Amino acid sequence: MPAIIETHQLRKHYGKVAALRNVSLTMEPGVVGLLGPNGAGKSTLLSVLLGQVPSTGGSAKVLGFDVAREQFRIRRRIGFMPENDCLIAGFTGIGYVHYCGRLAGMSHAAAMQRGHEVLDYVGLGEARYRPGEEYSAGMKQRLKLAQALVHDPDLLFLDEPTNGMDPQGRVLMLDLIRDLGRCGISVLLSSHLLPDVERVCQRVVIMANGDVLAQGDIANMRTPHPTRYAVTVLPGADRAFEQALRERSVRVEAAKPSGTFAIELPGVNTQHLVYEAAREAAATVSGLAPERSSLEAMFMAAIRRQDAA
Amino acid sequence: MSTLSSNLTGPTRYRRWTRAERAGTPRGIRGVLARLAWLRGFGSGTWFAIVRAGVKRANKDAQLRFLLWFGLSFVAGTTGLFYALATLEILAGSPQARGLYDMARGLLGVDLSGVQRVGEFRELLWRTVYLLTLKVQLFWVMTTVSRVGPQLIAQDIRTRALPIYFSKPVTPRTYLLGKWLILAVVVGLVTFVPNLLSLTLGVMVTGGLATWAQTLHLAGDLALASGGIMVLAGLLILALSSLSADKRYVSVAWFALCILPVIAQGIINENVPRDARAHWLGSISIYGDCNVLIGWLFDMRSRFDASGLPSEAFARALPRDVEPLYPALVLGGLCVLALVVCYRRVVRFSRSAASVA
Repeated sequence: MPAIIETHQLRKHYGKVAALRNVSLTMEPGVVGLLGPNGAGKSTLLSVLLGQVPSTGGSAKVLGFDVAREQFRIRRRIGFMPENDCLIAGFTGIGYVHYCGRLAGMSHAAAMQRGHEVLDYVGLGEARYRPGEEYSAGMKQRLKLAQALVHDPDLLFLDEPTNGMDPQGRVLMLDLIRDLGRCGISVLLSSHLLPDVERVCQRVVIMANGDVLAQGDIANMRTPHPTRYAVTVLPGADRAFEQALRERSVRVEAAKPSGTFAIELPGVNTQHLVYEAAREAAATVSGLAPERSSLEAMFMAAIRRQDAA
Repeated sequence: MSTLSSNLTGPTRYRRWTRAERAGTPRGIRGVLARLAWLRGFGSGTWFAIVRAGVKRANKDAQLRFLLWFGLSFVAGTTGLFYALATLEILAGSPQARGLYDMARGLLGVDLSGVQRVGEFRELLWRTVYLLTLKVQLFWVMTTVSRVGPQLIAQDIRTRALPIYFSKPVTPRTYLLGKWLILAVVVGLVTFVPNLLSLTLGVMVTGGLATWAQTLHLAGDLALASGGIMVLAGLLILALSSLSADKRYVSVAWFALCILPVIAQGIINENVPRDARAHWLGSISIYGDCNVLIGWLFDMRSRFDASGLPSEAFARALPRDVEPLYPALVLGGLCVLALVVCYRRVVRFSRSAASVA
């Protein structure tokens, strides 16, 4: 699968401050999360990839185009949703999206048709003729997404797309992002909200201090916990099994009616205790899997590793 | 399943563009027509989108519309004067022309009572009319530009809209060109359009093709004068607008830039001897400098000298005795400075666009 973003030893210095230090990353099509604390270099990376800021060294390609020489070809095929409010005053919803389509090089008729389509898509069809200033925070976020989508980009840069949204609006926005990924649009989602990233992204890039600390599939990057396990037994002997576990100093943290227990073993490599308990309780173990670390744990571990280095 | 997930089926599902839609031209006869339309127009440029949106927004301003419509009264005024001068050509020397002589003296500051063949001085008289009209129109430009210009960049800074522009295929140059053209349209509607219209009407009421040939150069000079005003006013207000996020400050700075030097020039003229202010000291007012340069462009002095008319006849109409070099340097310097300021500001914002976010 061809990479949509490729950087090689990408560097950016602002005077003596290094904003990006030899960033090499490869982003394959899909929804990718860009994580990092403040000052990690996420915004600088976006600026360089958008062709707004020249890099100090290294090379970068977006959708196969060189960011230094072909920035306008890139911008025609990407959509950018900034974090802050960026509505141009005096426009209605459809007027704003149409204008952004025209700025992207679309004809008047095409921009108008697509404007209506994407406003329907993001759920602003009813509010399309209202002035943008009257929109709520959640509606403004969706309007920003609509302007990024109007020219049907192949790649979307979303900077904190759920900022300022209520829980319901946040779910709607994440649903939209996931749906766009399914429609074949690649998304680079920069966010501080790890649950959001975990919910919609297949891959993540973790940055700190201008470096890429980790990148890859979330599922592969999650490390198995040494003592925490999820164990599932067939129905019938649940209670006896739970009791047998407790007798062997296994902490049962949660038991679900489906027969799945979240347990913490007394030490590393003591899984045999589970089977002994099952034998004693005459229960059949149908699943035993280590608990995987959360994205937050991965993120913190990566930051700690870098601090230690 | 969330509410939205259920909404994402049916008509609200995201639809990717087809290849034909992406190419931007429909198939068949509609495609041919679209290509012809593309050839005819230049509307595909992003600068054109900026101009179109800006002019549409300016048109929503009722006060600006009033100012522009009122500016068309110059057409009636100048055409009326041309008609009066045409009548004077016929009645010159006769007792019936007395009222017209008085009018020419009062409005234009030109004494034609001793002139027998007024028609020979038609171009000089018309140039005098336009010189005085442009003097008034400069004030009109100041007012109309103050309605449109201050928010052009300031509002984009305030609403943080610049990241949107520079994430699209828009360069700082394209952005500035679009914004400047919005002002050029407004200034053109205040200066060039009324003047060209009145010139055409003047030719029609005076004598047709012979008059047209006689005043053809005047149309070119009017276009050049209007173009100069467009460049100067447009660049100055854009530079001011790029320096602040609040359009009120920009408006105050604009009026201060236009009016304070005029007052200062008046004080200098009162207190400094004429010889001492022939160079820089006589060129500090933008308004005065514009008038000197328009007078130089209209070539009033040499045309007047060639006419053989007594100098007191055109006492008010002739431009001041200031070398055009100094006003040209002042205004040219201001234009360059304004261009550098607004370009650097916009480039700065374009580079920090993603960082702003």
